Amino acid sequence: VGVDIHAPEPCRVSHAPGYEYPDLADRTTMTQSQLERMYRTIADHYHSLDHPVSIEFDWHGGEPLLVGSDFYWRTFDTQTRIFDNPAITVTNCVQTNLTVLDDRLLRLLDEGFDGVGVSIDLFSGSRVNAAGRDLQPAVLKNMDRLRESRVPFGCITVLSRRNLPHLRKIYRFFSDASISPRILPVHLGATDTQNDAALLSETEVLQSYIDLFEMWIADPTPIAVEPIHSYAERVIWSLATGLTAYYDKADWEYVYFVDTNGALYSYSDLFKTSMSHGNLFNDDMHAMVNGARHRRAIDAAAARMKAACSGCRHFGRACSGYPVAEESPNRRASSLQGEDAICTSERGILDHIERRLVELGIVDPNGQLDTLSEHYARFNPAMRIPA
Amino acid sequence: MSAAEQSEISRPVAGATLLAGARIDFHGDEQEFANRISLSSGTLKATDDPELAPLYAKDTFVPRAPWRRPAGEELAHLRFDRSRCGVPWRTSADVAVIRISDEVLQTFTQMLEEHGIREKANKATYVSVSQHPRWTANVDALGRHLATIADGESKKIFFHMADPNKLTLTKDEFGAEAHRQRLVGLHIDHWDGLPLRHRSRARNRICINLSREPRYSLFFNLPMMEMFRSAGLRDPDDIYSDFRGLYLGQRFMTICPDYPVVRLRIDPGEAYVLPTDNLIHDASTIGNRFTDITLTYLGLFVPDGLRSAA
Repeated sequence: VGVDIHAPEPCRVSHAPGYEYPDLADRTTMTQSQLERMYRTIADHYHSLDHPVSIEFDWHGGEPLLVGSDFYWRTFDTQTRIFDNPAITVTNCVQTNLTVLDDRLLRLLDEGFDGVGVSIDLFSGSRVNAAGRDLQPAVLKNMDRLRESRVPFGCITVLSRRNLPHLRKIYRFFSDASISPRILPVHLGATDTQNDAALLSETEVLQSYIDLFEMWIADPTPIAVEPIHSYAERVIWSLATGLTAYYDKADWEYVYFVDTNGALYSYSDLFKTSMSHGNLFNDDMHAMVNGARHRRAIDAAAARMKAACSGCRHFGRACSGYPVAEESPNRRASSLQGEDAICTSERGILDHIERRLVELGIVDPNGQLDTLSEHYARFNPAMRIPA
Repeated sequence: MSAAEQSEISRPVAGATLLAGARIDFHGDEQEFANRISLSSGTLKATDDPELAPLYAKDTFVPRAPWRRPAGEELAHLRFDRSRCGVPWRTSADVAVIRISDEVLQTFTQMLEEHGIREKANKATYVSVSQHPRWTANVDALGRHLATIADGESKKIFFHMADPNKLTLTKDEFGAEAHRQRLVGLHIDHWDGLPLRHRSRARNRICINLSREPRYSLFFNLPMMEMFRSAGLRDPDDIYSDFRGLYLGQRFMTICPDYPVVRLRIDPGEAYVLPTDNLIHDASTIGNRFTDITLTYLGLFVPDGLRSAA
């Protein structure tokens, strides 16, 4: 399970629109004691289950590194004391703008975090400091420092109207640097109109996914471009096994989101305070997960899937329904059908990948991956650069 | 009271006498066990020795001569006694010496002899043994044999050849100065990436001696958190400064330079099981004439007869 933590320090950098949270100017921070209470109730909840659980804490911003390294060393150690059941594995990942990097932070990224994601919005010109200075050169310099120090990292680039015309250059940047990126379309803003000018239509998102797939498949460098790689893996799994799998939010929720004030949300309901399951600083997580508010979120997700997925040929096969259940509320879509329906990009890219994998001979008609194919490396986890 | 004041502060307790810690499960009798073990006179910084300095990376430590036989109580600390009820054998803290099936082993060593590397492997002319027509079949047979003592999946991590007559063997192959191929001395592995407090959950590894001669496993018998406490370090402040214990070995050897390193002889056809993410270790070919050849797997290995205990 992933626990996304809206990190404890507001960002002092103007973001590209997208994975942006409200109240970035709010200087409220999570304290060590609040985090300890949160860990205890999370641990109690997952200890009560009868199977092993891996919990990944993902620290988002604002800029999560601005609180300094000592904050994290302390809270990591608190985790190791509280999650003392060997059936629970805890890891920590951070999503940083990387506008700051000193020796102490470098060590934190190297030895403290289990995964590092750098947010870099290439060719958007939207990441500036308070004085309006473009911070991208500083970020690139800090990325070089990470590489020199052999700190593994991936990148997230938010695709918006500003940088969509530069998609090919964005891909080339990552390929030349042998960095595996996650390239994601801009979300709805935290307020009704925050990101509207930058939003892409579902059709534009689909075309960008298709373009990325074609660039990726033609590129000899085996980087993993998400979400394209995951789509391709799901198509191959579906073709090869003939099995089905459906997202069941009631059975297992993959990601929870915790706001700075401790409010717990499903991913589908970020910052909709009326949909918060409760507060992890004060309430019992086990009760929340089994409570009426969570039940309402589960029912809402099931209703979305019923309306959008039942007629889809990919449902249960290459797509579990997760995009509609959890991701669609954060997108602009006027309806569940039509050219700009919430699933246009997923359905379209799955159709495209399925057709192209067979055309290119990567997958035979029985769904088996051809290990002699020149493209095999990019589907073999041991041979590609991790995202 | 500040966090620093709250910290538990104590004196180092690890002197020149071996403390109770990791135990060795051994297939032979008491006398044979005693003959397999030597203890160092502590450790020294490699760069303080003019002969070793050019070979080793900075801030590295090696066992210090002379070696001695363990005293009676030390030997008792080291031996895992199957006949006694007590703390069961622990995959993440204890050690074992096991024999590999002759049938599996002979075909493997015969292949190595045919390949011409068992006497002396010449780096300039070496052709990977994986090109040998029986390599895959032999590795598969060995994997099946090891599966009988593994809980869950195991993973072959490396086939390794090393020079004879070396005090320690492990080189820096992953760090920023990997190109210099310097020796790292006594060190901790980080396969499972665990925090210091959770290193007791780590997997162990099995290393099979495929050479013509005995080789030596070197290790401190103190699992990492016991080492932390034995050095008198402060909990939690010294954990904040070294969350995963990556520098604990150096700190321990600086604070407790007289604490003995265990040298355990592993004969040809034997393997040792060691939790290398939780015990500071290395290996040695000191006194040998032939190429040192090993095959190593990572997993959760438990010697025959101890599974329920572990």
